Amino acid sequence: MALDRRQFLFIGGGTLAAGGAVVAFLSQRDPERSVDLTVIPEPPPREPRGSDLIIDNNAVLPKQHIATLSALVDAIYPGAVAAGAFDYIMQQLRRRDMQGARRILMRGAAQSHRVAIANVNAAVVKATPEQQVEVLQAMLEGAGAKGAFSPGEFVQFMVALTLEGLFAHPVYGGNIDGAGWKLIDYEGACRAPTLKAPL
Amino acid sequence: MTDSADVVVIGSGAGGAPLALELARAGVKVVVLERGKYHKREDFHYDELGVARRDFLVPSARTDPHIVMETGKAAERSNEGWIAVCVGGGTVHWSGFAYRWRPEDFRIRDLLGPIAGATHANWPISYDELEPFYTKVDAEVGISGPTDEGEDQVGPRSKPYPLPPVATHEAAGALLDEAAKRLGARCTITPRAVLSQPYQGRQACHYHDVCGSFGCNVGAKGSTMEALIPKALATGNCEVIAEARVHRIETDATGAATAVVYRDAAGVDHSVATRAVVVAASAVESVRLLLMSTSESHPDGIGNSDGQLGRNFMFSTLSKAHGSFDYAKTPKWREVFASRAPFLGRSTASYYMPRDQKAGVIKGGGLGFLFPAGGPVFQSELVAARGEGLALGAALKERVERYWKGQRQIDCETFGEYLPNDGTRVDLDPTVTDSLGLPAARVLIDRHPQDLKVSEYLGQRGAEILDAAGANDVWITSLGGSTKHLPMGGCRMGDDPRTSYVDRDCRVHGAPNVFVSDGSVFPSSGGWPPTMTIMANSFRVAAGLVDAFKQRDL
Repeated sequence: MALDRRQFLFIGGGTLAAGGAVVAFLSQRDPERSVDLTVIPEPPPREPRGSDLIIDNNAVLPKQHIATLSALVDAIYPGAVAAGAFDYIMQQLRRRDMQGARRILMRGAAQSHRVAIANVNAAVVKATPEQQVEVLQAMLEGAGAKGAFSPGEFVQFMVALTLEGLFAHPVYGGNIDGAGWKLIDYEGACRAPTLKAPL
Repeated sequence: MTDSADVVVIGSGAGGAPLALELARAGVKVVVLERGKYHKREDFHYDELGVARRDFLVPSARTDPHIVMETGKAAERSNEGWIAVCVGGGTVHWSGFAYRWRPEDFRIRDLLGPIAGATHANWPISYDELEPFYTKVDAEVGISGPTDEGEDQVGPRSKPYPLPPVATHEAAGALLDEAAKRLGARCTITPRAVLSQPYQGRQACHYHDVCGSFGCNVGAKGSTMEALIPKALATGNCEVIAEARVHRIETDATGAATAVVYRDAAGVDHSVATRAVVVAASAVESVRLLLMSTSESHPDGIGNSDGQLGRNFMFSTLSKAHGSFDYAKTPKWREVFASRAPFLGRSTASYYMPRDQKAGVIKGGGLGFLFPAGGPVFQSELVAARGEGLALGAALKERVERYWKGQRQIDCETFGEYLPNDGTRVDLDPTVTDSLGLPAARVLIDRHPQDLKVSEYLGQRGAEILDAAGANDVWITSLGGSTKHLPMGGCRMGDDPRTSYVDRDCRVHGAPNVFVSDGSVFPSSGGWPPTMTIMANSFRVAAGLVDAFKQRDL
């Protein structure tokens, strides 16, 4: 009801629609917080829809970042990549309003690589799942901070995106054939059979 | 395009639509200006990402922010304080929890006496004066509720609910009922603005597992879009103009409103001349519009010569208790919770007036029990963050999958007074603007320490009930929280222009034909969410306006 609904809206509105503003959605921070005033990018002329994708798939991220972020997604939730969570993230990063987020993920990929080398003596993609989680935990605690980049918020953002890629409707590019819903036996209304395209 | 009306109503939600309906029925020509779109039922998909996690129902914080400044924290660009921007407003995505306030809520100053640092006040009207209008809401919206509430739970009722309660999860409900009873409290079925049976041409609920956050695609939820606006349109006296962003109320040298100016979706300004204006844009935006509408006769905003506009702003004070019923730890829970009935629907007002001197709590509030709301992404996020820290890797996967497959959770939301104070108010941000280049609303928030006491008290009572029900794990969150989606105050109702902004008829002191009818007029924030009370008060204000038209006072 009430609070959940509003948390729901705040969290979501911040997570994706803020486009570059990392939002507190987890318990480490006030869950009702929304967007940090200082990191808002220039507003787009209007809210883009699916047809407003501005970059093609090949230009979303450098290859090395794709590999790193994909590995992190599977580290966050084992099996998430096979269920389509990383496909979802790539799809989202093509949106005009996600370009701020894309920059954060690129910085996060680079910094996680550095933290991995320093902490587990291996690149993220070569590290074991346990080591990858170790890297993420270290970043949650502040490892890899650089300038305005907050490694903790990066990890939180990645968790949010991963869960969206697992459990949001497949029309958004993840949760392939409902693979994420099968993981949790989800049979509820958010399967939205009438939904044929992103709203 | 319509360029004149007897009354222009700004906003089509809980504060605007009841009033528009009653005026239209009385033959008054009404134009309702709604900033958002006019959706159809078929637009309401249960698409968690699109509807509840994007900007389908609320403006983007990037383009149309509120600036939230909590004492001791940095200013934030936020969508907090927006409720919903569409025809029907917040009633489109509310959960339909149709709580009446209790008589005590209207005389909080008498109950609590003076409290240092708080500006709480009695309402100039009583529960008894509002009761007929609560009953009208019941009938017009179609409230489904129990027959056994009794005056230990609600104020006196002149009529029973028009519909029986919605179906609830019987086994879980019985657990809570018995647990509460053992603790000396009493739970009853939560009244809902959700149709348990077909009603007035609308279909009954089809019991999806999500309700709040989403529009209802069968029209069973009692949004004003479904329950009131069609009736208003059917009179032939009401026009709803959607995607109309009102940015100014024009006033003349006497201080009276003469016209309302809005910008349409194409960016073209229109003016609607009028004999009276009703502002019902939700608390933050109503204050903002009234502050922006300066003129020679109202240099500080309409009716703001005493500086009352934006003051005494409030939310609800919140805490939450949670209980998980784990199938591995207690195998019988698998059977108890086997039904997937989505509504738990139990509430108690047994802790509304504890008068507990030891706890320092005279007035408490209501407790509502429910299964966790939201779709699978949102619920999984909360599960990920539960406890000491964020789960990652195998631990996250195990935690999420156990939540969905190996347990059932019951949440308890509590609602207490948010004591108004000088540090909590709404004004115009001096630098940040919206997508029209107009000043954004700034919401300044300061919490009174008494609110935390009440929040703790109520959260503990919820936890006790969940524990008594046998939950394997019980925990409390959001202590001292505030429900930013339930904004109230800023245009306080009262008899004294020096300490209030509107009179008991919700007419702005110093602006003879400007009225306010949303939650912004509330002098206190009550012990339950305000939506029913906003609707009831809107019907009450409408009755006064109809009389004013009959008496040629407008």
